[in-house]
Amino acid sequence: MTILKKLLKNPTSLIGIVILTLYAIMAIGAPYFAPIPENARDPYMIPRDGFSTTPNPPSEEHRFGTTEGQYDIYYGVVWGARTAFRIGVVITLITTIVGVLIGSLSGFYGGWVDELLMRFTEIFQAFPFLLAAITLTSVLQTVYGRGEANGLVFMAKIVAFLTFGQNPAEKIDPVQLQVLTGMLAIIFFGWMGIARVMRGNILAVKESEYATAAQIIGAGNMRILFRHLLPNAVFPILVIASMNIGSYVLTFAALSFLGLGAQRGYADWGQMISFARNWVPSLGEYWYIVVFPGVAIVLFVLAWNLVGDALRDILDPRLRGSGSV
Amino acid sequence: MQKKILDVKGLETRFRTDEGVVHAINGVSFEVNEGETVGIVGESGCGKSVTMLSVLRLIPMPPGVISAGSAEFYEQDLLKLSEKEMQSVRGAQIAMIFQDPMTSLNPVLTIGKQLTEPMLLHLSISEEEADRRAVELLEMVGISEAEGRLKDYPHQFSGGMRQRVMIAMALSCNPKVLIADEPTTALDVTIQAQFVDLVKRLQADLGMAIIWITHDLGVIAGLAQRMMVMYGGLFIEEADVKELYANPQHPYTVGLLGSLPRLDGKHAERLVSIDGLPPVLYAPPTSCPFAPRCEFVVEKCLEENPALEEVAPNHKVACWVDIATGRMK
Repeated sequence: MTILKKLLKNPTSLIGIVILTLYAIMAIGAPYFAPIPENARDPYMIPRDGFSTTPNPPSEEHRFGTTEGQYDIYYGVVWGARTAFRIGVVITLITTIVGVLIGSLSGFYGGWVDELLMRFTEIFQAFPFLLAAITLTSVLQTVYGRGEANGLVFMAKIVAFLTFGQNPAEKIDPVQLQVLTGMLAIIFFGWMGIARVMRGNILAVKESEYATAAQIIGAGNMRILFRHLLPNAVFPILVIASMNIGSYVLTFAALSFLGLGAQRGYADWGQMISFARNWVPSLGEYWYIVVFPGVAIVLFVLAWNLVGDALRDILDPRLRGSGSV
Repeated sequence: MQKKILDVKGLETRFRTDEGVVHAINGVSFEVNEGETVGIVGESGCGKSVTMLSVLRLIPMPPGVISAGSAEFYEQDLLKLSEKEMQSVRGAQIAMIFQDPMTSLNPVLTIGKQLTEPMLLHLSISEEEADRRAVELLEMVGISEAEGRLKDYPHQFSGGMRQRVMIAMALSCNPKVLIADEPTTALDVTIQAQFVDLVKRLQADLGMAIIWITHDLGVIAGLAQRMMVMYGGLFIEEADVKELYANPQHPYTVGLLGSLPRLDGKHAERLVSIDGLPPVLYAPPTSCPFAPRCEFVVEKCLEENPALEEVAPNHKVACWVDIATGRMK
């Protein structure tokens, strides 16, 4: 409660929270702001008005204009907010849980468990993040297309359930599939930072007297770790997680821009910007194909960073006033 | 003859460090009878806490190893129990409280949650019943409005109050032995006296045995029946309280007592200090570990470590020298 109050009092985080609230309203009210056209195959597929390659400027009918292929930019920006929240929150949720678990076990048990888990973490860290995500996305798509690799399908179904509420018993919707593979790729290479920070935090609280006190009353290892240590070590993770939401959306946009994230025509900001690739020399004329989805991404990421930054200042008084780490 | 409940024999604990193997406990033997209070004194780093943590098997392993000895609790060797069995002893049969009440309570859990935890772990009772008992326990240790305070967090309690909560928690399952590891060190002198009175009263009511670790010879004098003096991971003197204070036989004990300010002295005396620091033993002691700091040191002290020997009824000392004469015994 007090944390929320402080967040609302702090001007930076207040700006962030206001922006995020607006985005949330946009995402929740998407069918109202940008009604789903009749006969739409999927509400997340941006409606097209013809097949002409030349973008068209903002007009009565298309408030933000249309991109190459006549996809409606306004519709895409509005519905893209839903995609951004879903992608950001679900990736962050999964990477945070995985990171917290691996980091906690590593720090708590130490010894060979620590050695094993941390070397495993380092292997993942050794890959350049974006490059690894790009490679994995293309691999995942091929593998899934061939109907192989049950482990990956299982993971994709979990992510599909968390992101779209998709019934795991049913086949994954092909429209969602490409989004899911992009998300899986980011999840695969996104949990290591959290794991390392969590390991350090657990190492610190493990030495505290209340940890020994918990042993002395006869509590078992799992109880000590999850009831006594974890709640004391997990707070700094909240800060990282809130900042991660923004940066995962950005990474996903990068994948989409390269044609590996959301499929063509999907309401995703990064995907929409990829329509501008062919028009880079004449962006002066066709500015609207970049500016609207671009501003949407920038503000979204900025808002999460503002909140995360303020959250860190509030949770860690030692950093107050220094502004950066 | 009182019933012996804890019988530790030849306990040895080692720590493997980068600098070498530290011989923290070097063959310690002691026993605790039902309902009695035993004091263990010695300066920091001489192995008091490690002895107790070894008995409870709570030294970090690795680097720690209990390399020899036995610790029989009701004829059951604690050092041979499985970890699961050990967990059912800790908190239920043997409880422990620590020096610093400010850090030994978990800051993110309410007092009620922490107080009921051992009961829920060890006694098969419902949460409501545990809550009810928690209120009784808090009242027993003298915390008023106990019911409302169960929802409070540790930072809303003062140091003395927290130590009371700690002892309430330790006694919640009616343990047979309470180990108190310097419980008064972090408290104000006035609060110390209150706390000692509280412990005495609780012991009279509940009848548990207490092992009281301290370096404060003043506090322990009014509390313990038997005292053991520890140095370099060994017991070097063991006697009834009155005997030890009246007739200390080991030069280290004499030094410890000499460093205490006294109010009943005839005239102002200088406080005596013992020069030097306790040794860190990288090998088992082959000479008396106190020899480098001892004013009575003779050649024999550097050649062989003296064993505990009875010099008077219920009074054992490990020293080659008779300090009354300053010569070899």
